[in-house]
Amino acid sequence: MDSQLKKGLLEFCVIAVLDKSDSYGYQIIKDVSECITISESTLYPILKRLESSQYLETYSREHNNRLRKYYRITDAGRNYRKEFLEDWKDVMKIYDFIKGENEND
Amino acid sequence: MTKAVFLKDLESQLKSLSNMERKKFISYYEEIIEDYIENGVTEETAVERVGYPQSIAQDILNQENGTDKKVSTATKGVIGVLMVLGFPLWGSLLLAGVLLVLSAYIVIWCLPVITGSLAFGTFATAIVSVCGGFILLMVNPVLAIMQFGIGILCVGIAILTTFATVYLAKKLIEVTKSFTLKLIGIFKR
Repeated sequence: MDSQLKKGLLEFCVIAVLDKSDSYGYQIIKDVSECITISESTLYPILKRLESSQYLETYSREHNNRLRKYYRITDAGRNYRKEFLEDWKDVMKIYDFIKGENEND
Repeated sequence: MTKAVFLKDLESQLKSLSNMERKKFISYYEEIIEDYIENGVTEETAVERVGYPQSIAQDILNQENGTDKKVSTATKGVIGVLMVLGFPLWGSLLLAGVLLVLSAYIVIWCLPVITGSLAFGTFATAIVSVCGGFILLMVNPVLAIMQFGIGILCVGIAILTTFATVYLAKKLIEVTKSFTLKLIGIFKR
């Protein structure tokens, strides 16, 4: 897959995971990996970008005598996901169009 | 590789980041490695899964350079104001530094100038001695032969000092060049 496209999609995968429940680095990687491969070094900039765009916020909670950073989706983040899904309805139309031309593939 | 070594290595690779950014990044990795270990993986394997500090650091530095330009223009403004306000202080210090460097250049360039003028002087003496020797030949042959001798001696000295001048000049051009580039390098940082 085109790396730029993948980067953009990963952002929404992270948002989708957080939309279900608050989560932390390790768990996000695990959940997103079910659908698309993601590494620790890829996740970090995504989280950072989403946080600076205020699509998610962070808080720390103690876990086994150490602090774990949790990420929580904001309303802006939820809207961002909705917008993405709306936009991609058009993309899916185009996808069907492209696919229709080569139905035998 | 242990977690401690990994984190230390990562930290040293990220020196160009701000303190806060670096700490955030380090604690992010520390947390993930600890979560790996908690989920039944050995420390060694956990670190291996996360990747190599060098490539991780390279990735993050590339991304930082792409995204943090807005902040740097704002800080550039502040630095600009400070530069103007601090001019009386750093201006005089800079001037002193520049003059010091200039005098160092002048002192070292004295060497080829000395050998150069020696070459010029002895060459002139050689021409005068040889030409004068011909005229003297008619008046006093003994003196004329001595004059020829002096002329030849001067030619020798002129040739030697010319070589010395060329050699010194070449060396000093190199020295001056590399030193100037080093100075420019310091200011570029």
